[in-house]
Amino acid sequence: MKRRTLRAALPVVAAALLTSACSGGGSPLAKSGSKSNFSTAQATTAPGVGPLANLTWYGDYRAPYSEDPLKTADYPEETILGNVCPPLLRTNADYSLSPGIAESWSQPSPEHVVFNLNPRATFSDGHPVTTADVIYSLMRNEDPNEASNYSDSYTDVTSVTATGPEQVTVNLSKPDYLFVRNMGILAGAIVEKAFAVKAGANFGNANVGVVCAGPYTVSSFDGTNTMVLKRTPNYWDPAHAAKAASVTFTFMSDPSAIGNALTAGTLDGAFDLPPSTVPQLSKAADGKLYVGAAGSTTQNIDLIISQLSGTLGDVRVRQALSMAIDRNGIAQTLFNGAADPLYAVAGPGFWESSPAKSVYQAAYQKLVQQPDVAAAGKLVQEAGATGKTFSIGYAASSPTDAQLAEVLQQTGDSIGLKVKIVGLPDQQYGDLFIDPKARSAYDSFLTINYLEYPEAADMYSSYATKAGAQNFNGWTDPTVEADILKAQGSENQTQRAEYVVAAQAVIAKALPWIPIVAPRALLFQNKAVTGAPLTFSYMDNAWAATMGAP
Amino acid sequence: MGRLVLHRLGGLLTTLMLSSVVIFGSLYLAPGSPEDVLFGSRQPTAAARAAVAHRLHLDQPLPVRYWDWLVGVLHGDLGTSMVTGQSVADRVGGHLGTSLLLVTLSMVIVIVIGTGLGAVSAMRPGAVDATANAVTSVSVTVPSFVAASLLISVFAVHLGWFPESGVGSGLGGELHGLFLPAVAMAIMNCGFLARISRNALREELQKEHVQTALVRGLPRWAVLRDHVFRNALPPIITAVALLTSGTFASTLIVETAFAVPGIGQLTISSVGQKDFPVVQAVSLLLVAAFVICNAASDLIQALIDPRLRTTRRTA
Repeated sequence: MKRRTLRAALPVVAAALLTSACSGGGSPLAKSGSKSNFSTAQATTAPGVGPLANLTWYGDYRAPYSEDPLKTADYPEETILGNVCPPLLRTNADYSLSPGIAESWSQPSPEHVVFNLNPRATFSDGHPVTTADVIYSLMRNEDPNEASNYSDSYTDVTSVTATGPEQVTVNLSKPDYLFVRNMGILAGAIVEKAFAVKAGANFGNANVGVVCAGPYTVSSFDGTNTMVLKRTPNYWDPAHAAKAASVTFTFMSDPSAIGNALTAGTLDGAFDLPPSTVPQLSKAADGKLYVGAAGSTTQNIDLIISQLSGTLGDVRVRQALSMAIDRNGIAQTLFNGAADPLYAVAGPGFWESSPAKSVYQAAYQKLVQQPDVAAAGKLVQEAGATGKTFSIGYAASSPTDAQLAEVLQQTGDSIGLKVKIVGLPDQQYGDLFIDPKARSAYDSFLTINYLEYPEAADMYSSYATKAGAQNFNGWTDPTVEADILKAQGSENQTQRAEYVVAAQAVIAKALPWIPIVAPRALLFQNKAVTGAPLTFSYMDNAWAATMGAP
Repeated sequence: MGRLVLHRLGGLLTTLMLSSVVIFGSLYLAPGSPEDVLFGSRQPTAAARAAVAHRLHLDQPLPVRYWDWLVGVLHGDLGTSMVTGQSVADRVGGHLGTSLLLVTLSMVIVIVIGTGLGAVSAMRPGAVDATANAVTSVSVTVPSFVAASLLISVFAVHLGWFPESGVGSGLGGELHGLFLPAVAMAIMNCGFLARISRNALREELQKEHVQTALVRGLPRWAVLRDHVFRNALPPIITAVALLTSGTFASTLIVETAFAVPGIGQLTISSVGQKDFPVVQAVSLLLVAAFVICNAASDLIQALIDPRLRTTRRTA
């Protein structure tokens, strides 16, 4: 559920050519400082009212690898597949959960979550959604042969059983009040068992497809450029039936092509826009660029420490580096103002909408620091690290990553460290996240991480606990382990927040990851359509069903 | 003539064979593998990884995989995409038509404008030639990716005459959508071809037999047609063939800039995903385009110039 992303699929040479040639209107270094133009209280654009014949949308930087909701968790899949294979529960635009395929749910004890299925729920082929389908769909995440991208959501799940004709119970190994959130993302996507079993290893391939219970079904997919969804006829949930008869997703990687397509109206809208499109799109006449406020997404850009040996193995060097980074400057220049300085990996995006916001906010304020190069240099000296070298790996295909690596290199230089930055092809960069051997070649690497729902405890458990799927450097701390465990077991959100901020205080000092900036939500929507969510909730949900004519 | 065709065909097959080995080998040697793409950020169990590798035949040694692929191709089966599971013929086929149309359109523009401009400047020395010279000097310095961004901002975004990305449906819609990308690739090539045609025509115009024919009072158009243009054709045809094969390669960049659903985008994404069968098919198509263009140029030259109709001389 916590994922890094690989931006841009262009090979290095072409990317270099295109960014130098085509981004004339949007040099990423232009100081334009965009301002947010909607409040965080506003979760969606005006609701869509009228029907639409076709909606064309930016499907992100590449085509999905598979239509199987569990196979790959990245922007293209998570933007599209929630419309086809929605999860058990519906995540609303404000991240709250509401009934979906399960018409109600409860957690009668800390280790049991009970879901009552909606008897009307049917798959696109007309078969009803049964408890067997739900159990099969959830348990696929635990099947090593499926290699689900969401298997870490199921770490605490011991079994899923039918406890009534329309009732399914998830049994957990320890108290966990966070698990239910995973039933509102693709980790809880429901597929038809009979179809999936019959398709076997080909399930989700472009020419085989999937059978799910969403408001849309895949009508055509060429594997490269476009995927067309069509409205499911006689959708079982008329209150959430789609208004657009079809949705065409187009995949493109060149930022200026994306900007032009939106400006000219070839595309009706887009989420997750490259920062370099901001200047062009904020001037568009036929649509509006929505720039979120601080904390409008859970995305966080960090420097991951690969190993706790070498130059960055000394906590004082990590602290010095973090102290010297000009986060505000990075947000303003590299991201055209569409990002904010980040002082804890789970920043405002993780608690802006939480009832316990005040607890998180007070703790976060204590971590805010202005860059202090002199003090950082002194700390490096104290650590005896002056003149020592460390390396940063980054995805060479992403211009923003490359610039960020250069900025960090200068930062390191300014405090007496030597920084080697290494641009890696997508494949090798991706290997850093899965192969310890690949990782050992670099002291650190850059990531854009995110969580589909705002829950700070889950973000921290992913990289700062022993069992965390993203704990690449093996950093652990007994206090953090205990606090995160207690946070998971706390039903009361304020109490949970208190445990999380206690853990956060330790993590922010030890810096197994160094937070840098948090991108803001960027949405472009043509005047002819409306209804898109303004939050990160578009990931994994049937957001397209809410789109309509104004 | 028949021998020449056979000879060329043999050359095509040999080139394709050799390049298929090179492409297959280099993909194999480059770091990373397709199953890593499929697993994304997840660390699968060894068994799960092995099962996927087995399903994709990645667990077999390189020569075996190459042989299997070759046998498949000889039976008309280009294989299955490792990433989407679609047949390679389906993935490539749909896009190939668009790219072919794009290259054809671009080359028609190049031939008409390039030779036209060359002919005008060859026959009108002085101001006209100097102007044409200035125009071609500028156009040969405009690479397709620069032209692309200029054309998009002027003709698509500001004037709105052409779509800025993608193509419409039907032949009319496709041509409309492909016009700007075709022009983007044509600008530089037009300059080259104009220069080459001008020099070739100028050289022929100055030949003694041409001067003699003109002095003897033969009609000017007949002299131009039979003695000047015909004799100037070989270098022009060679240039057109080279530019055409180069245009196939430029589609990679231009199709990305205009979001044209052709083989360019398919190639870029497939290379990134190490989708061996798709990359192999597309790369071989590009190689084939190169070889076919050159062979076609030789054959056309042989048709024009009977002296070249023996294989020994063109081989």
